[in-house]
This record gives sequence, structure tokens and C-alpha cells, in this order.
Amino acid sequence: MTTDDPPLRTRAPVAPVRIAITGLGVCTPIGVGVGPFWEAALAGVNGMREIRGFAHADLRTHVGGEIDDFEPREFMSAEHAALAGRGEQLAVAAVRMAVEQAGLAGEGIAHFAPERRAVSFGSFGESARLDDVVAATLASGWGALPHELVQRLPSRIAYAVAAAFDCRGSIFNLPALCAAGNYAIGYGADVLRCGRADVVLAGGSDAFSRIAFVGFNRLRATAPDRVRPFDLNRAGMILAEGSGALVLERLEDAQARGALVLAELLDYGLGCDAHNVAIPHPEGRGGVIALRQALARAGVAAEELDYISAHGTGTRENDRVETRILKEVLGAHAARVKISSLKSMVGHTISAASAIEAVACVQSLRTGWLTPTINYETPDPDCDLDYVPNVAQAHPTELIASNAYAFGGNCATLLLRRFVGA
Amino acid sequence: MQRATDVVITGAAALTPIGLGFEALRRGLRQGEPRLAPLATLGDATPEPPLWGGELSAFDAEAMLGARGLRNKGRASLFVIACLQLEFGPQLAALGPREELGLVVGTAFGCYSSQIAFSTTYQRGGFRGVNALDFPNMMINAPASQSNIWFELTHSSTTVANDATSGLDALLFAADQIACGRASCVIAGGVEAINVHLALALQRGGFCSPSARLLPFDGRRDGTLPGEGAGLLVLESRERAEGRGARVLGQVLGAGAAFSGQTAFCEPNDPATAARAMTQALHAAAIGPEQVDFVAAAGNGAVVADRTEAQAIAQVFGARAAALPVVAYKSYWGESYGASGAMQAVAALADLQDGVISATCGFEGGGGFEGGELGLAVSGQARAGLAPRTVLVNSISYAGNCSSLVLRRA
Repeated sequence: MTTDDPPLRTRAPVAPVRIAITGLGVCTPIGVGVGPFWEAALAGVNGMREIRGFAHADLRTHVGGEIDDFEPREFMSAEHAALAGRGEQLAVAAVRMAVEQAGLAGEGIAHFAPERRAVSFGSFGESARLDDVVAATLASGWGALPHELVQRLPSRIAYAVAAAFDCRGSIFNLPALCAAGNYAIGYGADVLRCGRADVVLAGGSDAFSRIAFVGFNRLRATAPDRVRPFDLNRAGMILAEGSGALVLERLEDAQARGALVLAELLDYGLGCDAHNVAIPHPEGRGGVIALRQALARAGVAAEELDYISAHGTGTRENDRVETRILKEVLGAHAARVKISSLKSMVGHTISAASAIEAVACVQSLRTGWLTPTINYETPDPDCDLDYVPNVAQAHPTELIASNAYAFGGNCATLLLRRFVGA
Repeated sequence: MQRATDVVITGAAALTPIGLGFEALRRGLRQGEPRLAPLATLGDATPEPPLWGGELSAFDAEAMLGARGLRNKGRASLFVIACLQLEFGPQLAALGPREELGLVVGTAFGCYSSQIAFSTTYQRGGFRGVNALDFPNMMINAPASQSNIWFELTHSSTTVANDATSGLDALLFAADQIACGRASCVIAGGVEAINVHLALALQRGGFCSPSARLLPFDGRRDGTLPGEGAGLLVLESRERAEGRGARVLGQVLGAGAAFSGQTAFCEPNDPATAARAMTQALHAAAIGPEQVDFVAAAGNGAVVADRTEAQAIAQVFGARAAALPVVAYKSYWGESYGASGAMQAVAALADLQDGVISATCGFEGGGGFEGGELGLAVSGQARAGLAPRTVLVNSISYAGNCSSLVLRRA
């Protein structure tokens, strides 16, 4: 393929284009790298601990999911690590792992011309830098405002990923907060389908944010000790940090270059609650629309779903509403399908959450194991489905829906399918 | 089976410093006068001499939206809501059932000043001083999400944060959604609100005009000036638009996006990236450069960035570049980042409809060449009688992204 004459089109292709996932990468409080992360997730490890990154004595809760064993220089030069914010470090690390798994590390990426490499990422930016700027101006007045502020745009992380892997095609930052990963991965598939690129580095990343921790605390949304999704005594979410990344290609291209196809990204759906900026619609309007649209577009029936990777934040409203969404869309099948919340272990990594969950879904499709919902003790009459309580389950899985719901009622559901050679 | 879909424009809305609403924007363009003044937003942070820019000084949220429901909403959120309310109001229902209407908003900074205020309140007054509802409302997806809530649009809510290409990229994203069959009608564009911290940081970074003049492509240009506003287009599949008997204003023929590979925020100096975005857009539109009647340039008065865009236009259009009309709408209202590309697209649509290519305010040329030192056909006078049909709209970001969109009048 020549770079000066790319086969671009705004018109949709005549036949559905299948999308392959060929690489995965994660940084999470329970493990950095797919291997350690997956081992910890199947073992039901709780990644929540007392916050060490900033003073929190005046807040209501004191527990968060910071990553202890992350060494950015394993993934980038010391110079880059020193310049990058933590969200950028986490993003580049996850993408590097994914690119390596896809067989595109080093010279390998040259298989794709730089102009045909795209990035579709989600992040709300480096809020720690903004906190520092505010502290400086409060202490010393406007004269202390650093002009470097403009270097920390919310879009910076997507551009940093693009620069690190010399991607010169379409670069998107889709900051749909707690659903950003699914938005970014879903649109990444559209970029391939529309022929805008031949490979897409997709995912989400957010560093542990004091602003966000204070905000969720003030909303009384944070749990004091553990995340207990779907449990009667659930007390809220717990903020965490992390990143998740996927390499996406058109299936026929991936096969042509002999790449190992890890799973197929079938399709996605978006929906909006259009109800309240901080509270889910009581009947889960946006979530129902997103899941229905994903199923309709993929041409699969709800009864074909084996497993739901829940948004499952552990807040009273989210878990009740998500259960309701599943009953509404799946009907009687809701009682049969397996559902679990990775956030019970990893916490809520905001823009990274659904990207990390997508990685876990691919692992479930490949291994036939489902991650548990840990800290589950007391059933809630409002949440009466099978949440894979406490212990991982062997459960061969063909088709997964992964839900993500954000502030502002931004809802996105991904559909992933096990890939059986062509 | 997916099939080819034309993406047509069936509505346009804008809040700009030269006029609130599409018709006011059109009148402002015909008057040909910029609205740049010392920035009132800066308040006690106003430097000496004052920083100039383009503000929505006539914007009054309460007068436009009523007193209810305005609390906690950031200025960028209010811009999007008011922009839609002013243009469509009760007629929004005519666009179709609200579950069919998607919304895509591009913004570089969103409600950035609300984030600063939140952090300031916490650092000054501690946890107890913080208002819980300020938190979700300061998030970058608030302008889109609050508009979805205000108008009860349930199809989808998307925020694109791609620095200065956000607005054009939002239109590209929406066109992709329609082409892929995800949506049949999407309201898409961009919004930006001036905030003190970023305006000052840009000035201190040396990006703003010390002479307080915004003169795109002119030999006297010495920097840009910040602006704010919103621009939105209603994009729809032709089939749907015709089915509901909508008046078609124009068509999105194609779009392109390219990244330079840079890591720093600086004036773009690589014409190849901008040229690639333009070439892709033309290719996607299936037209040749000779079919473009004018360029709605990204030109914002920056010394290096404007030269880079001029070189890129020369690369794409060859010998014709010297005669191809170019207009820099930012000369009217400043560099409004995430809103800019969408505001240019709306302004270009007004020009296409009026059969006029607007003046680039203040342009006198310079450098001893006819058409200015950069060799482009920029004009300080409006050009009538050319009956332009097709426009190429450019956005070029200091973060390295370049996007282009081809629009054709109905």
C-alpha cells in the first residue's frame, strides 16, 4: 500500500468489515502487564489501600487504588518519563505492551506506514499539573502562572501515544470519563471500517487524581474500605488509576500479516441517559439504548451473550440500575448470564476502566475463565443475578458485552467474540 | 449490508463575537468588522498592557434560557445549550424524535475555568467549602452532556477533545457515524470559553499578538488573540433529510485528519501534515483541487503557523494557490481553539449561501507581493459575484493535529 494514495472513503464499505484485536496491555493496581494482572484478577486480589500520594485527613474516605510497582522507564526513555505526566506514562506503557504482543514492537510497526496508524484514546488529562498551577498562583499570584500550562492540554495523552509510536494518521481523544475506554475502542473500529487507517492503538488512561478523589468524596460516592458491587451493603466506588490498550486491525489484514488474533471486536453501541449529570436514569435509559444498539448492529441475539463485564462501580444506584438494564434487554436470559465487576478488585480507573475491562474480556474469551466480583457477601433483592461471587469460574465463553456508564449519562457497550480461526 | 450515504447539512447554529445566532453571524460577516477588544474575562488578572481577544460580550444566559437550571453549569456548557436554543428552540422537535438525534461536541478545554475554580476552592477552603455538583459540571464532557440533558437527546453524547482541531474532528466523527449507519442525524460542532489561566499562559508562552491585532497572512502579523464561541451543524443522511422534507443547506463531501508526530505544543512548522489532511479530505470527497472555490483557512495571525498553512495550500493547489481565494474567519473573532473549525464551517456555509467570500479583516498584504508575502489570494475586501460552490475548511493545531473538511452548498 502506498502512503501517498491511501484508500480513504467517507462512504461505508459494502460488506461489514470484521475487526481483530491483536494486542493487549494494562497497568492496574493489581498488576502491571497482562500476565500479572490476569493472575491477580482470577485470584480475586483487592487492590485498594490507604492513599499515599497526597494528604487526605480532611476527606471522608481514605482508600484508593494507586499503582505501586509501576516503573515508567521500563516502557520509555528516562527523558520521556521525566517530561511526561503520570497519565501519559501509564498510557504509553500499556500501548507498548499491546504493540509488543501484536508483533509490532521495534521495526515491526513499520509494517504499517506512519500515515496509516491511528490513535483513539480516552483521558481527562493530567489534573495533578492543574492542581500545581492553582497552588502556585494561590501562593504567589498571577505572576507565578507557568506558560507550560498549555503543554498539558486534555488531548496531550493521545498525542503522546501517537508520537511514541510515530502514528501520523487520525488521532482522537474521546474523554467520555468513566466510559472513555469503550468510546475510544468503539470509534477505533469505525476508523478501520471507514478506511481512515490500517491499525489503531486504542484505550484509556488516567492517573490517580486528587481533584477527582475530592469530587467523588464530596458527592458521597466513595466507599470507606472496599468496593462491594451488587452487594446489599455496598457503600460506593473507590477511585483508582490505570491504563488499558488494544491493538485493532481489520481481520483480513491481521491474518494476511500472520498476526495472532486474540479476539474479535464485533461492534459497539452508544446511548445517553439525558437525565442528570451525576445520577443514572432510574430505568437505565442510556444503558438500555447502548446495549440494544450494540446487539442490533452486530446482528446477535441477547440470548447469545455468555457473560457481561459490568460497569459495576459499587454505588447503590449504578448497580441497581445496571441490573435493571440487563433484565430489560436480556429478559429471562438475564438470570442465566454470568456478570461480574472487575472494579471490585481494580477500583474505578475512570477513563481507563472500560479499556482494562476490555482486556479482561479478551482474556476470558481466550482462557474460558471469568473474573469474580469480590467482597460479595449479602445478596440485594434489587440485584438478584449471577455476579460470579468471590471466586473465579471456569466458563467457556463465546460472546461478551462490556458496559461502561459515565457522568453526564454517557453510556457505551462493547461486544467481543471469541475468535476461532478462519 | 451497509450502503453509501450522503451526509447533508440541514441546520446551522453559532454564537460568535460578531453575532449570536446564524443570521447574526451572516450579518456580521457582511459588515466586515472584527470584534476584538481587551478581555473582560481576565478581571483582576488583566496584564499591562491588556490582552485582547474575541469574547461573547453580548451573551446573557438568563435572557436566552430563563433563570432555571443555570446553576453549576460552566460557561462552555451554557454556550452549547444557548446556541441550540437560540437557533432551534421549539423547532428542535422538527428534526425528529429525540432518541434519533446524536450530539457531538468538540472542545479543547471544556469547562476548564470550573476545574480551576474547584481546585482553588479546595486548596483555599478545604473539603467543606467544595460544592458537590461543581464536580461533574467541571468535567470536559459537560458541555455535550448538559445539552443532551437540556434537550433530552438520548441517542448519544460524544465529546471530542483534540485541541484546536476538536470542532472539525467532531464534524468528522459525526459524518463517520452517519456513514457507518450508527446515526441518521447528528448535531455536531465545537465550543470554547475563554478562561483566565489559559489566556495568560498563552500570552506568556509568546503566542499572542503584542500589538493586539489579529492579521492572518498579513506581512504585519505578530501573533494570535484568544477567542470564544460555538458553532454547530445538523448533519443528516440525505435519505432521512429528504424523507422529512428538510431544507438541505449543503453537504459534507469528505474529511481528512493527520498528525505531525510532534510532542511539544508549538506553532506548527510542518506544511506536509496540513497538506496531507487537505489531500485526504479532497480524496474522500472524490474531487480534485481545481473544484475547490475557496479555502476557509486556519490562519490565526501567528507568524510561523500562517506561513506553514500557506506553504501547505501551495503544496496542495500548486500554481493555482496564488489565485485561489482564501479567507481567515479568525480575523473577526480570534482563535477559539476547539470551537474554531466548526465556527469556520458555519461561516463558510453562510458565505456559500450568500454567494460571497468574506473579507479577511485588516488584510493589506505586505512583503512586497500582490496577495501578501505568502502568495495567497487573501483579501481585505469581500468578494461577490464568484458564486462559490465548494469550500475546504482547515484546522491546524499547535499540538500537531491537522484536519480538513470539504463542504458543498446545496
